[in-house]
Amino acid sequence: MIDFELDPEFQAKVDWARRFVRDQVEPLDHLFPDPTAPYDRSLKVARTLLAPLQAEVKRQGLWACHLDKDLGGPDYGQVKFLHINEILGRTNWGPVVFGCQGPDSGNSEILARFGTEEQKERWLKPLLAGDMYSCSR
Amino acid sequence: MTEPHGGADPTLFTCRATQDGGDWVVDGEKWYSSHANFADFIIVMAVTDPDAPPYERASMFILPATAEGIGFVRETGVFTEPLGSKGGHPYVRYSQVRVPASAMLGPRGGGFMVAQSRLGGGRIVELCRVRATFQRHRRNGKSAENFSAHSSVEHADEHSHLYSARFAGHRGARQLAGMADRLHSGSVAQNRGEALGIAMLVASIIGTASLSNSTILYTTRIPAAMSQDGYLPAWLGKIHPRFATPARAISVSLVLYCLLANSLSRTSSTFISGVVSPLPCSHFLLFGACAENFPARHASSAFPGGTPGLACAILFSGYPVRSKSLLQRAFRMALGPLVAGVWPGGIRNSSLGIWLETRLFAHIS
Repeated sequence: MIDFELDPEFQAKVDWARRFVRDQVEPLDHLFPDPTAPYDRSLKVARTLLAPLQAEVKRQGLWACHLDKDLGGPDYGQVKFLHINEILGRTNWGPVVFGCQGPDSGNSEILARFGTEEQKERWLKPLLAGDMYSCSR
Repeated sequence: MTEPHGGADPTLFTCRATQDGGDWVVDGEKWYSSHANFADFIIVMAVTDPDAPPYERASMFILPATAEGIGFVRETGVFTEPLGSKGGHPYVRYSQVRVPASAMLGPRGGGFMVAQSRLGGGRIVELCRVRATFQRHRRNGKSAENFSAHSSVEHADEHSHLYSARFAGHRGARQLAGMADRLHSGSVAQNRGEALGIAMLVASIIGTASLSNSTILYTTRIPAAMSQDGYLPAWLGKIHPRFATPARAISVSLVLYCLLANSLSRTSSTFISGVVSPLPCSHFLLFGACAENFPARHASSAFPGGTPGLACAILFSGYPVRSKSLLQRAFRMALGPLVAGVWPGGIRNSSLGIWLETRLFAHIS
């Protein structure tokens, strides 16, 4: 039997994320509706709007919530992360605003697990900070 | 993880990385490279040791997006992405892209291990997000016109699909969390890869079964309808007097798909096998629904082998995915559905089919 109940502290985070995505992120979807727009850094206006939203997510401690603590994430694990994903999936922009967009999220995990110190310094750090995007094939 | 000739089966990859002095030179093509045209770097899985066992042939490399020799053949868009220059899943060609030895990510020959350590989690994330996207589109009434054409039954059906998708996501996440715990407690990464492999196979079987459900009707009823409308010879559209199904159209489709499935690439044949297996079932399934109107025929509405036989026929549609050689695949494709679906006593004979196959092909693979 799956228990969908959350602890009150995390429930508060989920409620905040739901409101934030509805009020602040969904408008971006209407302004820049292409599914690839969140990754297109030539859209200057969109990038200007994006930065403060990402800063707000970092303040709330929900940035990159796929990551363990030692990489700067909140260490929620798969199950809690899933509750956040159910909210982010409502928008194209959500994952980028919350710093857990694919394929960067997976790439950061394999860089963290298998990368050398030099590779982590050059690629992982800027990827986690949201300054870089990646692809894996 | 997709190449033009071999699809998404990484054991068939031909994208090569060869050593030249202290450098690696990557040469090959990849399809559906998510966000390659927006990326600062690309992690490429390339064959470094072609003579090694299949799962130790490839290694991962980190290529800066600015490296010389990376070109986009097409900037493909998938789903609702734009089709022009800003689709998010390009067809990428790597022409003699040179990187230093330090660009290798993980151990040499460890490409599969690195990829598997992550793919399962990504799939669950996708499932949860896509489900939420669909739900939002429904609520917003973005496609109000389409939905207004829906009956309330179809609405209820969609709703139950959304709920079951949510359960699938939660269940997968919990399993993965458990697996991660075991991984951290000291077992090796390969175990996790294997367990994820099984989880993904089960997911693909469930997926194929639901695909089968939606392919049973159209693949056979379209030729029947076309012949009744006079576009194809009339004999093709004849309705079977006992089963009340277009038996000839079904049989002809079955033969055609078997021929197609055995002559095409692995990706296409796997897809087509999903279509082939339900065809024999199609003879019987619909009849069950009209049994009330034809009480005298009730006895023949039973599926051969009963419920286990039916389950077996559906499961067989996922069966060829794991086949090894072309010959073995052809055998499963041609016999699988027949064994499970047409011969009386489905289960017993399908085990016979498997036994026969292992005897026949043991020395080949």
